[in-house]
Amino acid sequence: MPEARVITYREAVREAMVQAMRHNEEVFLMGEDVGVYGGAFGVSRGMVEEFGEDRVVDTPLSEAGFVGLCTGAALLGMRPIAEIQFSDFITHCMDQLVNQAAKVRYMFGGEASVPLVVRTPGGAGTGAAAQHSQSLEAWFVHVPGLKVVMPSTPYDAKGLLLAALDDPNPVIFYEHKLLYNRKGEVPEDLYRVPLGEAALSREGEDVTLVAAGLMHHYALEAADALSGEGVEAEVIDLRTLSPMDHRTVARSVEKTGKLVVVEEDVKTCGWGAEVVSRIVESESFYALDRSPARVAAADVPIPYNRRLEAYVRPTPEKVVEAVKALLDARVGVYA
Amino acid sequence: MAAELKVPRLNMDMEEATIIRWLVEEGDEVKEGDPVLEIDTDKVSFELEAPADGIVRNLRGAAGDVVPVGTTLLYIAAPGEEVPETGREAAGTPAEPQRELATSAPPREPGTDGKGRSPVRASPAARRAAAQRGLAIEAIAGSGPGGRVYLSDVLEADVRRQPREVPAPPEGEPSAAGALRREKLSRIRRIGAERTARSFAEVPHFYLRRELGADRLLELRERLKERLDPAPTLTDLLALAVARTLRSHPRLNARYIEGGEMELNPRVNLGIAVATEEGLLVPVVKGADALPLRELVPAVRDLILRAREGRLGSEDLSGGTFTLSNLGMMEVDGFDAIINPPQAAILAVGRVRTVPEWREDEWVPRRVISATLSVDHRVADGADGARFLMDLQSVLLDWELLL
Repeated sequence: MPEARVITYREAVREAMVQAMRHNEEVFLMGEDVGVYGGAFGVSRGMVEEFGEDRVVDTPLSEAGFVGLCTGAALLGMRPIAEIQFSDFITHCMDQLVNQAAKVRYMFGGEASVPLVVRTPGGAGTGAAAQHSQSLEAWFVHVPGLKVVMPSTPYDAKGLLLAALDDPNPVIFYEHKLLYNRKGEVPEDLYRVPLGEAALSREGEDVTLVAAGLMHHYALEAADALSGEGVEAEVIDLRTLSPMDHRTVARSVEKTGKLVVVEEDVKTCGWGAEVVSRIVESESFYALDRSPARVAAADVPIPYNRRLEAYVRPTPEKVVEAVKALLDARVGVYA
Repeated sequence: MAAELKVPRLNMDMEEATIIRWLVEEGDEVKEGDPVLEIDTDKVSFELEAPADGIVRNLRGAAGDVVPVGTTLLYIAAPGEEVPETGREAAGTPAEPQRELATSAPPREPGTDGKGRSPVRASPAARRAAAQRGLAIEAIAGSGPGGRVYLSDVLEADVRRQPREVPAPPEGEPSAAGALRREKLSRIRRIGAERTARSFAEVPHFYLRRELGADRLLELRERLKERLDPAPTLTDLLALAVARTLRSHPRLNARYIEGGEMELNPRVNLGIAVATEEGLLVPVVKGADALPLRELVPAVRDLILRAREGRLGSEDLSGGTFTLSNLGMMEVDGFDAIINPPQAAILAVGRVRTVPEWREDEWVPRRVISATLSVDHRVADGADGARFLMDLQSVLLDWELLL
């Protein structure tokens, strides 16, 4: 690997787009304010200056329109990147994504494909209230034909975005508003991180923490705190939610016998339920020594009030509490 | 650990198979992948292979037998390894009963967790480990909530049965670290165990719970801290208020007499619950309602001190008519106490908490104590207890009422 260079997550995403566009004329970026303004979170800053308005395209406020346009362009062989300004607005283009992009390759017997990448920032923690803070990724995990990626580090953000641009299928690429400024080592060359492979980011014997995106960092923080109390957590960064890397999770659960999923979406029917179900349905069930647990957002809209927002979201402290509750064999027992 | 060979489901519709012939016998040594028997389904005949290297054990079924999918056919074990029984037709001598081997802990009722509940709650990992080791899960003492069995419990039980030649520890002595041990109760705890069990079983308890405003109580203690030596504790001040308030609530200062009578005490002999190393003691302040605070405080102090040092005489412990139990200093929010017979009631108080109270048009912080009055329903009713608590609250809010 080349010498370590440290850049932000935002810069890593931008670098992947810039390098892909330099390398491949068919790649273009489209979205609200992605041009002169540089994107609501500054991800595409400087790109319109290099590539011009034909390849970095500002759109009206019409997700259904421009995602439909990108789907059509992908069908004709282009490699579009659509940026949805806040992932909450993805509701506007559900039909394009779920009924068109996800289905075309299947319904045409593989004769057509939709190599579309939809980038979008999700998650809460910014005081942006209920319509700008959701984590809706599980919706897309539920749709066969869509891949869902949720990188947690600048390295993975670049590598997974480049892999997503190579993929012949539509990929929903979840960024997180609170990750954009996070720094990490990112090589300058064009490298790929394969879709569908989780990363074991910390080894431990006592409990398996499975997370993705920002929550992966919360899991690592929790693991450090737990280590101070003699509990060694193994941490898995799923990186891709669909296809889901069950094997890496199962291998770890076979070792620790305990599973805690950390996810930012609401608990009910969140993707953490899928992680747990796959373990419970498999041979790994017999390795479980405690009931699996999920640390997720409360089943409510994200509140605007800062304290309430913090109250409903997962935190490293809540992860620590969940692990302790899991390990404590004597809850409610008089000693 | 022994590997198991079961009748596999070879297609969606398959429910059972017929054994055509065995290719091995009990005690044969096999290698993983060696063919061990032929089975027949309605579609196809099939050769089954040994799942591991080892010795064929507990082989079940004969040629011509029809066996359902999932039936265990044999185990492959290491030499000398224990193997679970395969069933009624297990070859050779019947497997030894496993339960006695499982643990040195006293056996429970089979299939219960020792509290009359069943079946056993055990983690999947614990069940798998127990099955692999030939241990009966219901014979393993679980360390989890409600006796839930975890993997660690199985591993411990397994370790305990390994050194068979080591003599069992003498009764009453602590055994290996982590193992169950028995010890005798102290005399105080033994008496307490009998008395609380009898009270809880025989006295019809009911409980009245309320919060007592404590702002004035705490202010008073602050003021008196400077003026009195020894300084009164919250327990002292509560004892004073309780003893004085009981004067006008004779039913709570009474005792029930079998046959439909009650005995009303003219004096309040207030018991104060004291936690000691040897167990709970309740020394009694005689005539507490008649003592001025400057005499009550040293009297309570002396009793508590002597209780902790084990220097109470029987006269210090008898004659109580009502008990006050305060666990507030141990940060308990509130609790329900068991009546100390033959008394009719006991007041249990928790810690001081600050709560918001809506006063006209704003929230104001207010300090409160949770109190539970447990009452013997044979001598007093809910309303009697409620009135006592109302009067107690009045005194706590306005100490001048005691003048």
